[in-house]
Amino acid sequence: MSAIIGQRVTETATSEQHKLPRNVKARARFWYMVHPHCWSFESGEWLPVPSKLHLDPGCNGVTEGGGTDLAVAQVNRNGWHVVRPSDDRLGDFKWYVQEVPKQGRGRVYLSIWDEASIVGGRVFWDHDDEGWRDFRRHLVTSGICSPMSKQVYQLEMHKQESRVERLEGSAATAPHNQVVAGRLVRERARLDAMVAAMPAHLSDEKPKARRKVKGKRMQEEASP
Amino acid sequence: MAQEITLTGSGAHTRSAEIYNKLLHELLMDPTSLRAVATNLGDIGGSGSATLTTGTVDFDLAMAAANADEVTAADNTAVTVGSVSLTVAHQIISFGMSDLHSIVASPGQLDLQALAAKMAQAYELRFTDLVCAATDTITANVGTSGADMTVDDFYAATATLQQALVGGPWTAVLAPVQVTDLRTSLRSEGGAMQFMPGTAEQLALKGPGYQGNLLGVDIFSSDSITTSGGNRIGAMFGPGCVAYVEASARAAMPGSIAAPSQSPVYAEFVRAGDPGISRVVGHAFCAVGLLENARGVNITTDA
Repeated sequence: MSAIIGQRVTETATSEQHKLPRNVKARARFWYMVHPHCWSFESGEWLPVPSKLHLDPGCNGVTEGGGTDLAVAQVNRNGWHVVRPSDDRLGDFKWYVQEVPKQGRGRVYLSIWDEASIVGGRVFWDHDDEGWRDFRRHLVTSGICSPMSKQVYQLEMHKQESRVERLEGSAATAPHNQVVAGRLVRERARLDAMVAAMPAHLSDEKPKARRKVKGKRMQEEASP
Repeated sequence: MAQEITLTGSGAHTRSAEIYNKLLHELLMDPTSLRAVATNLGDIGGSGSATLTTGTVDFDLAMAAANADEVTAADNTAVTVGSVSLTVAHQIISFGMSDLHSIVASPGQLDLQALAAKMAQAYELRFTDLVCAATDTITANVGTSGADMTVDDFYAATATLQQALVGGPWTAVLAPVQVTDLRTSLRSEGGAMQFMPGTAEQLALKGPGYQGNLLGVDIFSSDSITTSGGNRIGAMFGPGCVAYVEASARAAMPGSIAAPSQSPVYAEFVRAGDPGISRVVGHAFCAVGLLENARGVNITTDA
């Protein structure tokens, strides 16, 4: 007669010790999406800044059963391009969402670059910055996200110049303020770095004639 | 002396080991409600559909000079027409209590009625989550990834709204860490800029989560602010940026408690005879989304 052997009970199978605590908020599933306007200068390079389309029923057109047709249509209308986790072009970054177990009701969905650890009953969140940058670099090189346009580059440069100008004004009126002076130095250095890191395809770009709206040629003498 | 009656000695069985306080201490939570800063598009209860489509139109256009030759007709001016659709979804919360737990309760202790009273707040919390998730899809963005929020980021956000012609009043919804970073940055600012903390009257008017006003912008703090790439994605927006739709139960659902007119939340008590569990279940039907993308700006700073 063969013996009936039970399964060894492990700590993870019996306790809730290896789950996020009950007080951690549930976070809905999401898809990343990219937009031609959303770029950021980080660690010496220009990278796209993906946002999240939260697949949360009732939010931005996501329907009760989690239907996303309406939501995707609306974000597309605003210029977003949805990066589905199943996209083969993502390569190693395919399926970039992870589910982390949580005590109580609801689930917590994070990106694969997020990590939660519990130390002394408190949750600490870590983020793999380098992995996150690799992913965003890959979005451009794989063709999922279009390269940065000259107009967006100029817009970002303008924002940084405004920031420096405001700090210059503050530093001039309060020269004793070391905090503002320190910030000014950092922001100036950042501005210089942003110029130096101008994407190659923009610096090599030949000046193009402005696209003109076709119009009827008017005769000067016809006007009053 | 001897034979005294003591708590730990001979008198141990004449006193209770412990008693429970009638007062219940509520653990820390963020009660921020953002319902007041979103635009109400209407109530579609009894309308025949779960989706409300709102037309968007740009017809505030200036006249142009007529053709100088006096005989050529002016062509029609193009009007930009679009739409935004929001589909209400069922939001729910349920609390269950066993018969034994209910029966031994003394008056004033935690019971189903106390839990039922939390239904409206549960809806507000869910609503705040939806608003914060909806603002993630705003395309304009200020702030520096990985850097603490500063007054410069706040200025940049106001400049973005100003340049986009967004009318006031403006509202900023920030993560608690963004609010503290902003206030730290303010300490090094000179000049006439002043953060005006919320007074008791303002808190009563604007609801929980209101922090104060800076540069004419009402600031709310919420732990529902989303994260991405190790950053917090706060937002600043004007009226008409975020909108919501609700579907209130026009009549009481079978077995439920009749909800007040136009109330989006209704509750019901449910009983399972075997094994003896009583539940209170709260329901609401709502949708939140961006109505006009150009009326907002995200503030992305270090988490």
